[in-house]
Amino acid sequence: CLLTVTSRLPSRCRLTGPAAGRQAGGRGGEADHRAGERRPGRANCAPCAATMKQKVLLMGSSGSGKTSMRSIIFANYLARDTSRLSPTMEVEHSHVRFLGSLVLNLWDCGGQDVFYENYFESQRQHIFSSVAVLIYVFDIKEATEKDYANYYSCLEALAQNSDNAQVFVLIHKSDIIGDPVERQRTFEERQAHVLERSAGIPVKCFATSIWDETLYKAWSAIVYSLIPDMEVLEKRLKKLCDVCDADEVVLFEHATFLVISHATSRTLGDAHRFEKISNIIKQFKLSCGKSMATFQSMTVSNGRCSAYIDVFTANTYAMVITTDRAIHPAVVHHNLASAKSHFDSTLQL
Amino acid sequence: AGGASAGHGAAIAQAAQRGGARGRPDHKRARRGGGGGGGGGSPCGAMESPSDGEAGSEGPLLARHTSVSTQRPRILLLGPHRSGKSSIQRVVFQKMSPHETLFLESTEALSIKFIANNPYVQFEVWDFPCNLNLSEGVVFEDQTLSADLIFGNATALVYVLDAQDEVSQDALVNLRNIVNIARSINPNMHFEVFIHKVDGDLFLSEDHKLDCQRDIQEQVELELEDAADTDITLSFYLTSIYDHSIFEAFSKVVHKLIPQLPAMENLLNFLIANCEVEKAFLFDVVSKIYVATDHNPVDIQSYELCSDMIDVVVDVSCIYGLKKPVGPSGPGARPDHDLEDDLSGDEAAIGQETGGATGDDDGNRSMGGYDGEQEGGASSEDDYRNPDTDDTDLDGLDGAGLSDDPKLEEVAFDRESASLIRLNNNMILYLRQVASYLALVCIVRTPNYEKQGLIDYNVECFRKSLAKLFCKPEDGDDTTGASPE
Repeated sequence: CLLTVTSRLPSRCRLTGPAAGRQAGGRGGEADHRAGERRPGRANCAPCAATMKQKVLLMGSSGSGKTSMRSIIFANYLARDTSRLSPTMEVEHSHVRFLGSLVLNLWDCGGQDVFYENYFESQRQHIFSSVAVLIYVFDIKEATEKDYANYYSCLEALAQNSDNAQVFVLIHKSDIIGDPVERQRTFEERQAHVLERSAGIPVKCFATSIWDETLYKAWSAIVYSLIPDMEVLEKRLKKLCDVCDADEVVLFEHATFLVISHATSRTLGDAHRFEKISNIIKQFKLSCGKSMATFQSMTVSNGRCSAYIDVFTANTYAMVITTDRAIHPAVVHHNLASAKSHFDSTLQL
Repeated sequence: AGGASAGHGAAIAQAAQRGGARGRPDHKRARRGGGGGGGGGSPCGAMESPSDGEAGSEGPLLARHTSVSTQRPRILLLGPHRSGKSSIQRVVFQKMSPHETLFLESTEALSIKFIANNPYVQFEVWDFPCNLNLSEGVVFEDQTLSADLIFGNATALVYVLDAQDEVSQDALVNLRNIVNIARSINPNMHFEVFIHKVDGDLFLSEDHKLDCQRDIQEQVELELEDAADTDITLSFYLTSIYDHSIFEAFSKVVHKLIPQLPAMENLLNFLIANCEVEKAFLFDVVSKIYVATDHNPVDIQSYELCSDMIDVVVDVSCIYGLKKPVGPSGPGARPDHDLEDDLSGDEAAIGQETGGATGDDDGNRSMGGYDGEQEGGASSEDDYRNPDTDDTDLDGLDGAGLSDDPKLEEVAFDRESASLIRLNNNMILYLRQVASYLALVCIVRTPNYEKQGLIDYNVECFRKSLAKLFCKPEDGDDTTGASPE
């Protein structure tokens, strides 16, 4: 009888033979000792302090717009330039630095059927393990059964190979439908279909288009979910907002101009203002780029309010909105400069 | 064309459905310029022929405009079929996205638009149908306009040629005839030729474009020297609606319409000398053509940069710089539109490409263009556009006084509008409003920007001088009731 020495079974040890089973069962609770057991597939190591690599999968049917989106957000393409992009072969990897030390490992997976077969068979574990976020792109036009089947398989593979992966579904090319009411209706229809096929996994859906700010809204939500310590950041930002007597303080990532966080002390009208601002500033950045320059800071004011955008920490821009006319931009600048050091530690992920 | 606000609203709803895709993603679509529809009583009546099928703006001021005005300077757009005349007019003055111009139908009848975005430089743009028989006169609304009337006070004639097609003999003969008739009636006319559509695969390099210009120029000059006795000066411009060249060309044409131009340029020269500014432009904020600049040569890149800066300023001001519309009191009761996060908000965000594509109204967007974020439906914009009262004075457009109604929405681009953008190449872009929808944009080197207070003071002086130059009481007083200086 081999088991008398210790009651603890090493994790992967599989006792062969019926004798073992009887022994283990005989000792009652011993079989429950699972000290140090690790379930296979979990990402075991804590994110290391220096760089945090997050794997983001970008999947969807062929021609749905994944590479275009990626190019616009991360590679400074103009919307009209994306017509030059060719279909993605296999998987395109890109490492995008976001907020300095957060590295998004973007897997842009070609959507053609032959690739999908690969994904689910030979490369299944390789692709679907350790995923932080899955972004699945549907075209707003009718998706075929095959598309939904692929989607379901992706979710399945994801559930098996990664824990705690977030899933975002983008219903893309929404600009094709001109009428906003019709567009909303179609979006909701697709959303309903998608949720049906999602096997109970919580999924966030967005309608997007490269021709307006909805793209920024969706991607802001995606990167927001990747940032750790969000509560701390928001608290500090709120404090900054109060100190500056500002109506609103928004933090943008410096390359993509996606909104990372914001603090509002007075509700301002437009619910979509963040993505609009992202869009506006990003376009202006690209425009400056044509003249071989980039902008460092910007003040826009009128009779009612003043918006001040400036470099904040090494990887972020901050925008401060004040409606008190007595506040001079120099004061805001000074406050931001002083607050910088407090945020460096939070934003140094 | 509906004169009542109801008809107005319908026009807005139509405009709201146009998805626009300008070359860049449409943050600018956040503005539903449709509300501008020259709404009630703006001085910019759209005197459109009924066949246009779009809501012309009506209101008390239009009554003055039913007869074709002979007083205002005008630009005549002529040219062969499908050369792009209407597209030019829409893209430059009506904020249409260039991609949408593909869907424009042929102009069937003369359309006249009065462009009066700012109080100083105002003119009319006459868009002619292509099959024009000048001897018979041109039908406009119920009148027939003779060649005398058309060319009588016209100051600039723009002949648009399609550079992607061979220039046909007909087109040249047509041009020659028109030039002859025009010169006989009005010897002071300016003639411009736009060599249009220089974009796309045929014109990838500058050389191609210049070759094309040379060819066409030769052909035209040949044709004209046969006919006319005295020499005629024609200016040629290479243009395309897909980039800023059309705006630049139009700016130069507009310059010829302004008698005060030399004085304005002088003022700008003084300003840049005293403030050590590299380049200054006086921009019409709505159409983004520049009405004056200093004597330094214009670099198209600087012009583009300044133009984009105006976009940013206006867009950001629209998002943050407006008050929510006040409750349903006051004349022309507005529905109480709360900006909600709900469905309407989403759809408005998704459907944001509406603001720009305002094919239905005239050039004047001062009323609607910057007023309010459009959540919750198309009608929110014209709610405070009351056709019964004279709204034109809201932003001092006429410089004739203010509306004292504090409940009316203030505009985004107001008297205090200013912006400063620091670039990393030691340049600073500086913008100030100098009149209603007229902005001064300066490019300054960073080391020269030490004394901001001084520059601000000089710009104030400039603004006053400009007002005196045009003999208007100084505008730019918004409804806060500040007295004119």
